[in-house]
Amino acid sequence: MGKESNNVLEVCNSRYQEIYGNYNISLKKKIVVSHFGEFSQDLVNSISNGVEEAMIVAEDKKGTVKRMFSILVEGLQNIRLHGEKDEDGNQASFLIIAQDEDAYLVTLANLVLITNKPVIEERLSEINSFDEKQVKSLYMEVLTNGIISNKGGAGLGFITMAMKSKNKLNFSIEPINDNLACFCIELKINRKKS
Amino acid sequence: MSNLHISEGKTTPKVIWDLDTGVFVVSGKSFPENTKKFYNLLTDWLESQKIENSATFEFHFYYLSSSSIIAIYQILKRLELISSQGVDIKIIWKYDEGDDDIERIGLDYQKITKLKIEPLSVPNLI
Repeated sequence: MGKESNNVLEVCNSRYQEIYGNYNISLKKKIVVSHFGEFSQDLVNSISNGVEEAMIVAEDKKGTVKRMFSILVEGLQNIRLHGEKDEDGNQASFLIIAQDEDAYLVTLANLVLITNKPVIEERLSEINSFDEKQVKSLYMEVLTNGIISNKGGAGLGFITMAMKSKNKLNFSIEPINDNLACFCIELKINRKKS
Repeated sequence: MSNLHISEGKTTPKVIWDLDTGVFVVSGKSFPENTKKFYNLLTDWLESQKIENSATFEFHFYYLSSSSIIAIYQILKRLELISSQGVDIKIIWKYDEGDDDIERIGLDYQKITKLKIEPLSVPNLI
C-alpha cells in the first residue's frame, strides 16, 4: 500500500519537474512561484496576495493583476475542494507560475478520479470550443441556475478561469493507476504594460 | 439579534445590516473557503427579519469569487421577493473607478433580477 501511494506522489512530482523544467529551459521565462504539495487556505491566501504584490512591482496593469488573482483563487480553491488524495491521505497537487515579457503561464495540477476524466474533458473542451460571447452566455446560464454545493463549489470555476485568461485552456489528464489520474491545466494571461 | 454585524476577514467581506440605523452594507473581498456557510448567515438573517417600508442595500466589492457571485445572486433573489411583497428595495452597486469586472457583475445582476440596481463608480482610495 505504501509503495502504491508513493508511486502516485512520484508520478505527480515527475509531471511537476517536467513542467518546471520546460518553463525553466527557456532563458526568457522566469518562475515567479512554484509549490508542490498540499495547499492550506492560509497558503492560498499568501500566494494570491504575494503574486498580486509582485505583479504590482513588475508594473503589470491593474486589470491583469486582478485577472491573475481571480485565476489563482478559483484554481487553488478548486484544488482544495476537488483534489483527490492518495492512499496516504496526501492531496498531491502543484502550482507553477512562469513569467516572460508577453505573458504569465499558470499551471495548476491535482489528482482526479479516473472515472471523472470524461466529464472534465468534456467540460473543458466545450469551453475551448466557444467564443467569448458563448462563454459569457454559458456563465449567465450557470449563474442563474446556480446552486452552491455543500463543498462550496458552484460550477463556475473553469468558466471564470477561461474568461479571465482570455486564451484557450491547455489541459491534460494522465492516468497514474487504476483509480487516479494527474490533471494539469495551464492558463495564459497576456501582459500589457501600463 | 435584530442586527447583523460581521467584521472583515481575510477572505470574507464586512457586513453591516442594521435595522436600527437603516444601514445595509456589504464591502471588501469575498472568496470564502466555504461560501455557503458564510452567505447562509445573510440569507438566514433576511428570512428571520422583517424589513418595513423601504431599504437601500449597498454592495462594494474589490474582489468576488465565482461562488460568491452566485451567493450574492441568491441574496438579491431574496430581496426581489421582499420587494414583491411591497417593500421598496433599492440596490447600490459600488465599484472602484475603472474596475470593469465588478461593474460588469452589477450589470449582469441588473439583467437577471427585477430589482432597482444602481451602479456607482467611486474614486479608488488604494
